Amino acid sequence: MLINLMRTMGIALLMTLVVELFVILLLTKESERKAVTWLVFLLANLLTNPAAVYLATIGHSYLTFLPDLVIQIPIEIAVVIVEWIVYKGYLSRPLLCAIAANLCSWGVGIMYNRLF
Amino acid sequence: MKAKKVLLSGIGLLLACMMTIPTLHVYADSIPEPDDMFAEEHIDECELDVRVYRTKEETTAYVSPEDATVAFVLETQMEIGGDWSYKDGNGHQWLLVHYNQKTGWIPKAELEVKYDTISFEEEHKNELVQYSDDLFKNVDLSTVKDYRFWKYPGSEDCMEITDDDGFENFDIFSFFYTDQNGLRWGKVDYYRGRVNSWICLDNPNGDYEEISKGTKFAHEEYSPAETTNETGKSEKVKPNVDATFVYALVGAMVGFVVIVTAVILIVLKKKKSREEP
Repeated sequence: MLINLMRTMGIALLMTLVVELFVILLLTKESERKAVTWLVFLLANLLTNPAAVYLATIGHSYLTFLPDLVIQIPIEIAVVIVEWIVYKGYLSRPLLCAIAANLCSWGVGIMYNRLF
Repeated sequence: MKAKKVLLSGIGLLLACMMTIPTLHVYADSIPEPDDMFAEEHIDECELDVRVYRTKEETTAYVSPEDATVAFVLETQMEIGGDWSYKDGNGHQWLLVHYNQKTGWIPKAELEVKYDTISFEEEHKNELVQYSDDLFKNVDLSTVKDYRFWKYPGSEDCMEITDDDGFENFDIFSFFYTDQNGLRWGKVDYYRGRVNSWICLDNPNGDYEEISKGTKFAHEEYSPAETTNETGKSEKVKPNVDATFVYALVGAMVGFVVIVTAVILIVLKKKKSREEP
């Protein structure tokens, strides 16, 4: 069980990093893409993703009367707010980047779960 | 330049997705493979179990018999097809099921099984016979055409009507049964993709009304999937793992990562604000 949970969290983090990297690349200017920006991007995802997946898993297991979406939406909103705060000062459009990146990674996550 | 970067990012995304996607399973015609991680790892201890089951009450399906994570919850009186079964160290039987494109394991004690050929064979085991010349001296299988495959003798469910040619001999039948109307039936374990079905040898293409001759074959539609377990107790069966402990452990690890990351981010932010005028 521990291994399965860790594996799920590892896959989720890796997929999120790849998808959000793609979105951030599309939404930022060349001048914004410094080493520190990528470090902040990595740390922002390390801060939010494992916690979000963990909370969603706990919610899925214990709040079985609730649909998954009802559990995931507040978690995703919290993630967007945290990433928005983290990206402030590093990106010119932090809110847009946070919303777009998380919408895309969430969508890819849903597709992955449906497919596999 | 920008287009090249986007292209490279796209290729990177594709490669990363390919690396994270589990290996796809090949389903051979006669050698099914489970598409569940636990079943794959315990394939030698699992048995094919493609029967129809029904939940007695609202039933939780777990990620595995050793993982208390909830996969999904099934409603009361819901019919679901089985896939593989597994017996855990405490003697509890578990069934692998698919629901909403997910797999989950359910204790069989919480299920009922729908009457099928296995139920029939258990109920009539003393009446099932092997081939004998005496029994079939006036049956010519080569003239049998447009025959029907039935779930079990007396079933109203005709699985298939086929226009295949007749049979050369009785080899395709594993055993035989004579019903209350004196009609002789042959059990087909496997024949050209059909599994576990019966043919009425005295009336191969007759419909239910012709075969039953008005006599209803009485049986319970559902019966308990697991009557008693090895412990002899009727306690609620759960995966043999303390989920609370695992969740607490992972929660502590996640908490540690969050705190360390937050500290680094705060340090970075302070350093940045000091550097900026």
